Amino acid sequence: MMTRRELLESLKNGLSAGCVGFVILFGGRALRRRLAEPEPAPTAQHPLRPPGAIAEDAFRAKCTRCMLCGEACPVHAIRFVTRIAGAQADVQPGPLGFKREPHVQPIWAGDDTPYLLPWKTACILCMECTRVCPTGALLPIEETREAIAASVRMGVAQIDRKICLPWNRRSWCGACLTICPYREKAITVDYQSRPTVHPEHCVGCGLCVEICPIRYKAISVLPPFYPDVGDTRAE
Amino acid sequence: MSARSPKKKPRSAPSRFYRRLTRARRQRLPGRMRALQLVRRCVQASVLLALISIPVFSLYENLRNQRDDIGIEARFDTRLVDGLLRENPERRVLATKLRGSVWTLKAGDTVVSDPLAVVDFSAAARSGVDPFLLTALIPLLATLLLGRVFCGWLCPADLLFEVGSTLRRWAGIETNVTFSRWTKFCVLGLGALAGFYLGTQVFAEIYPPRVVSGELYLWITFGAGGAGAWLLLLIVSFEVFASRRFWCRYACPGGALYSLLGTFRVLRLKVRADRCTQCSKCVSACEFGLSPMSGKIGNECNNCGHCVRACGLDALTWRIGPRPKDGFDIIAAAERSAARETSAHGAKGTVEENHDTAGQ
Repeated sequence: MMTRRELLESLKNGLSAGCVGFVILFGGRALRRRLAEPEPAPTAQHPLRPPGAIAEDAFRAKCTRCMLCGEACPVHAIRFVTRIAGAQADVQPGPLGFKREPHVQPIWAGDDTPYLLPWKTACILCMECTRVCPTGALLPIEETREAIAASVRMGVAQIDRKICLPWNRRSWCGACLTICPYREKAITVDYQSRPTVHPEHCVGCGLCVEICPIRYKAISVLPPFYPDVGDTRAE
Repeated sequence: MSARSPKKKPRSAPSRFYRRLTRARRQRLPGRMRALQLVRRCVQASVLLALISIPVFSLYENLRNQRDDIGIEARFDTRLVDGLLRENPERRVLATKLRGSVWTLKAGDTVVSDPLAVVDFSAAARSGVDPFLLTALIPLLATLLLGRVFCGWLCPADLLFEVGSTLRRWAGIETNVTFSRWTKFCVLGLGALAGFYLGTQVFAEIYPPRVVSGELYLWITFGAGGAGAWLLLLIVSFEVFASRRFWCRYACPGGALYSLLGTFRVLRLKVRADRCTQCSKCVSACEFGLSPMSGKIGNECNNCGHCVRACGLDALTWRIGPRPKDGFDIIAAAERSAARETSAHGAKGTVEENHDTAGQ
């Protein structure tokens, strides 16, 4: 048995170790506040995140790389940033080998965080991944049309009018309009079936990208920070 | 045609097997402790099996639904698993109720996660209060009581590294670079600091159990792995060619955390000095380069039981109890031989040795 002195000793040791650990772990927080350094604007490029993802910096801090979201995804749309600079292989194909200004992932991105490649597999908006996330990197979203429209903003679709069939009078199309879950709101077509995206209604699921019959995808989903479309991400 | 000679053969020496058997009986080997080793192997195998079967069943479930609902051709041959699971109403249980890995396991609505994941999360998210911290409660309690039990019993990478260690033994590689065992505590502290300042979880990238589970998931689901496979290859090859069990002994942040948490563990190794002949078989058997014979074990012991198994004299065994009074005793040789003499006189003297970090 432990004597009282030893008990006190061990308590003291444990407490001091805990204090040191606490200072090491969380001490910088106070320091940071003291310095009152303004947080940089979230302009860093990042891949498309699953629905319900919080702002990118917080997402990368909170995601614990458990891959539960990928296991939960019924269509396996959620992929993982696994290769160092592996984004080069995942970039949407285009005439010169890649699409104009793709969301190239930075070189440090081989960190097993989840992302989506809509031109391979689009999100079907089942919100299963938001329910399984244990850390709150993906916030749970109710599986209703209104809730998804209100809180999902994975990215914003953007049409490339140079290669879109109706915009070039090549044919009648409207595939993106047909498959869009928020058709007539997020995507509208005019009398010649020429599509237009309305960013305020687009949730960024990427079904239009997957269905687009053009090989190089006349429509693509860009993360919402993208300068052309403006940052409309919640939070 | 001569029949077999009726002449009675001279009694030959008993076969090696027979000698082994009788010796084992004579010495009353610690049968239960050997069974423990078997149990440990079974646990490790089932963890590995679970890590493989969870993604397989998940993939199967999704592709089967696709096949059944819209009749598309599945890229994974679901008929294979169909045969296994036919007429099984609990088919969905594995696929939907049990998810995750040893890093973060989700059974139903209960989430169990690694204490290191929690440390990583707290450092990167810069928050000390989060519901996610509660998920490490069960592993935390187990570690407080049993020490580095995760390392020896549940870690899938440990299995890999033990294979490496066996290869090393077979190949007869003698090169063994050693480091300070404090290196891994530095890795733990620096990793937490790096996570704090980078705002990303760094242990998740380098912690082999998570890397192994992640790689298994990726290979099964997407047919391609990531950078983690290279990391594992690097570690294993370094261990095989340069340093025995390098990662677990010197670099693993998880091992460092469990060593810290297991300071007051109750599962401890007991040396019966009356039986010990100081043959040091246990010392060479110890994967972590500890010295069970002299009690120099500290918190590093991962309860793998190799030393208990190696001891042919039943001098090593487990006990459950608090830390001994004198804390870090290393019994002197004289005392040991005295204990042996008393036992030779019929007294059943048992000397318990214990081991803590401070003595080293």
